[in-house]
Amino acid sequence: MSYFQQMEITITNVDLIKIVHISGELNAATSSEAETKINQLIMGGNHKLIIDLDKLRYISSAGLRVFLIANKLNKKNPSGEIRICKLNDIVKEVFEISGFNLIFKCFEDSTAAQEGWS
Amino acid sequence: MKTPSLNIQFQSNIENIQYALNSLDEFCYKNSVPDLEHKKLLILTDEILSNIIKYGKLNDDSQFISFSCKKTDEDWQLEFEDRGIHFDPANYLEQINYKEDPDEIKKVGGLGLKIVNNFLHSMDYHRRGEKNYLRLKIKFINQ
Repeated sequence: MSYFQQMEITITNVDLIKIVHISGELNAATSSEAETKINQLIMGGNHKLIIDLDKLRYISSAGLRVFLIANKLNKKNPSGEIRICKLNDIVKEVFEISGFNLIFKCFEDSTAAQEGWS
Repeated sequence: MKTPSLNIQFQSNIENIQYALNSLDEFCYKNSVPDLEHKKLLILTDEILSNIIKYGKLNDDSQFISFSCKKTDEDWQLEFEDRGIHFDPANYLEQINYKEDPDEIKKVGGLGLKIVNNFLHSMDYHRRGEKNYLRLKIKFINQ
């Protein structure tokens, strides 16, 4: 029996917003793939991103760095912004320890995260 | 009653971090470790192995890392043994002000060690010969 939940990224569109759904585990072993996919989105001209973490089990610092690097890349566009939603308890705790809850706007769900973006 | 424990040894490379995490994940499921403790053990292990391999300059298939996890009456203990460069995580636990200076985040394992520091009860590092020995003790509140 395999207990490991493969990290997967799926992307949905709402108008000009890209919602990035990350499932599984965002750790040292999986972060490279996540970084590539998210950065490709940004370099493809998508600057309003919502990262939906509903299906994410946990995140380590390697995963946090993915968001930090993407945010830095995205800030090169004046309208660029990354918002985060649906953090579970352990992800929320890691965000608070690291101060990432101050760097990123965090929301209950993707609907709330879309508010203010037309 | 036998204390549940996990003992593994693996080649020191980035890919094997996943092997170690999978082994720990399975161990936690089989021993019905509560969800929050389970995830914290995984995060701690991920952070320490990343530091050993990336910052201990040990991405080297000819080298091996030993890892164990066991539950005592008082706490959980994670133990790591490796032959990387001298690396005492406690020396890097000072507060890193990366909120004001994002470049600070690039410093040696700063962000990961900040997370580690918040999750654990104590850390004991020593170097004997060419080996690093690190033991983390983690106390959890009953859920």
